[in-house]
Amino acid sequence: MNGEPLVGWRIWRVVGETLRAAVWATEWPAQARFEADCFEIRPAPHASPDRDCECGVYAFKRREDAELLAREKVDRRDVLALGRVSLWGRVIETERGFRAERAYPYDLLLLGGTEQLARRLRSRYAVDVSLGLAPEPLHTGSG
Amino acid sequence: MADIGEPIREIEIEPHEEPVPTPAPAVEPALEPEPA
Repeated sequence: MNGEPLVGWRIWRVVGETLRAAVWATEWPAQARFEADCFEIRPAPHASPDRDCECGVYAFKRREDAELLAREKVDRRDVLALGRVSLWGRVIETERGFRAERAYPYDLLLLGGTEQLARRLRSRYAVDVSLGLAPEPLHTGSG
Repeated sequence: MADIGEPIREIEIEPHEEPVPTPAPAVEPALEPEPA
């Protein structure tokens, strides 16, 4: 048992003034913990995260891995947030990251947004939000 | 799904205080003082 949350790195898409998971687009509520859930019934219905499933709140150990995911998963139209995330509850540590039961953003770097949006996110989520440059997508070709 | 590698270990973390900001309480308008 440990009394301090772990801290990992992840990215979110910013839709309106809301953070959404970059891969599944799940909404992250403001000023409320995000709790993992799993609807997979194999090998059996289970609480999330489960060692034998792929469920849980994902985060990387290294900022560089989150930045690479940002470049892989987005195009130029997306507004992203890169940031640290607090993780607690049941946490499965993996080779490069974590899958956690509960999470909340720790701080955010807004990529491709405006100062006004940064202020709104700061106010809604009550965390530090700074402004950065949009990432260059890895895949820019049209073919 | 992000590639975070294979599981290493499972940890249980119960923080003394949840790292979630508490919503600011609604500000109630100040009451007018009762006339003497």
